[in-house]
Amino acid sequence: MAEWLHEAQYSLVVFTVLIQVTVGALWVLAAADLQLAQAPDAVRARFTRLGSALLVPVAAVGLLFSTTHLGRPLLAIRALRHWESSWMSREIWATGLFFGLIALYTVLWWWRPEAGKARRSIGALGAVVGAATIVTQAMIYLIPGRPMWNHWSTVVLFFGTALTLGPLAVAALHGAVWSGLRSRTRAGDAGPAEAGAVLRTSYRHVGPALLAGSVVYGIGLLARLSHLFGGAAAALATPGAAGKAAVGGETVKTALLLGQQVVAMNSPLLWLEISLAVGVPALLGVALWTLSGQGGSLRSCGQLVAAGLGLALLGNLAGRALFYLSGQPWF
Amino acid sequence: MSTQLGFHVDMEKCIGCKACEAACKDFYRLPPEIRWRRVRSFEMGEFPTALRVHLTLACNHCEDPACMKGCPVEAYTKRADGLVIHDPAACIGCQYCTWTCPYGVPQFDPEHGVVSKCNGCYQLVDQGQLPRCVQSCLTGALSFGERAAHEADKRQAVKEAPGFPDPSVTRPATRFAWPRKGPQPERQVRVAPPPAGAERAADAGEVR
Ligand code: SF4
Ligand code: SF4
Repeated sequence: MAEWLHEAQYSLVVFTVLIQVTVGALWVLAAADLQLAQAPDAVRARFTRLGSALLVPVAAVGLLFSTTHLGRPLLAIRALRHWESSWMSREIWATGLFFGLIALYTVLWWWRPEAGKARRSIGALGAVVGAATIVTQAMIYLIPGRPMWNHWSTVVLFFGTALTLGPLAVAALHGAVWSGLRSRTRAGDAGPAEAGAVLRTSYRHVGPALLAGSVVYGIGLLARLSHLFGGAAAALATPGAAGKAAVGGETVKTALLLGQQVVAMNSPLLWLEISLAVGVPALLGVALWTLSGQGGSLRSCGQLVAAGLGLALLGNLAGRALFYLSGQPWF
Repeated sequence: MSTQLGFHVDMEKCIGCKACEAACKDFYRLPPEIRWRRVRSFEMGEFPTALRVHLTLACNHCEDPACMKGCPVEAYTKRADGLVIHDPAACIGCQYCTWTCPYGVPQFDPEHGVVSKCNGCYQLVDQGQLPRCVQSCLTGALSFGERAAHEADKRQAVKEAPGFPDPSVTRPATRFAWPRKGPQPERQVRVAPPPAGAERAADAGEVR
């Protein structure tokens, strides 16, 4: 098991997924914040502020995991050095900057709520830097040394994770806050009713966002599988490629064949990824949109969102583990 | 003219004995699982002319080294003579170079938390000696020197070899002479001349 976890690069699985969750969550929060500038609403503002509380802890856990991948974690700071040519250095710069911006964003929400303009600018900047962080994360894997990863689908998959898990994480936190609020208030209190209306609107927005996110993830996964399976079929049709005796550019097919075999050997992970990372957010998106629109119970919406977050997170972790496993040394 | 040192591998001469691998490992006292030079063996061609070929490889001291480009801490340097050197003191053990090098050359040593690889025995080269692996090769399949000289003098010196990943990515300095095709008995490589009297048996196609 320990060896399998090591091969699946568990530290990088957790690191990449959690940073992507944070980026997706900031997109949702910064967008809501921008809307608030147009139509101020105290209850909505409270929800958005509460949502900002998840950014720093989630990203911090991700960063902590990233250092466990290093052989000499105490020297990690050195990795900033080679930004002119190394995507790894660029990733660390981008992630550091992103972390600084979300920390500042959270501080402004909680300790300087009146500085709305500054906060919104930081939020918008953070959203852009977050997108850039995901691009740098993906570029690390676009290397000819590992043909299984060297494909545009890597970028799409990373964005797919942010687009599904980010909104889900924010919605789950909001649902939990609302149910806490409801259980603490007495009958006749107007607070929960107002909050419920805001939560309903938020679910109605999250629904289509989840659907769109799962389409992005699905496109990435389909492209990745056809990259691997297409390469594997080409390897079997090329003399020598399956026996590791291919020549020059043909050796790429040998690598893809190996990647495809790893996917086939770990097919339970693939099924988890398809059903939980793509299927669950898609179904949940449709369910939220219809339920919240037709006056369905907020409690059941909240339960669905919480369960959906757990399952989708599991699906993403499984899919990312499979991503690392399939990018094995092949020569 | 720019210099670029590198290895030449004659796959016809290589018998897959791994003396080069062992000599390197022994000289540098490498941990059991780390092999700076590695000999891979595989099949080529179809029956009845199938060949078992051996590909001995260490670092290719590439002209455009992917290891160096990707390393976030600048642990790699390329010397004026073309050798690519890794500095374990600078390395933080992120293992990125084990992914970016298409030939699987840098290897991670969990015990020390850093990567290591073949540095072309630059200490020996600076004293006018050959790398340990080349010194130890029984059949003369391995040589070391200026890439341009290999291209001028060797029976064959091409960039591609069976099983060797796409050289267009990093432009390795290693050059290859391919195995000659033909039935196995004619391909017996003799380390020493056959003893007198054995000639006729070999002519008759007997193989021991
Ligand atoms: S063979 Fe690999 S480690 Fe050696 S110089 Fe080329 S890319 Fe770097
Ligand atoms: S493992 Fe060491 S040498 Fe390799 S890329 Fe990381 S820091 Fe550089």
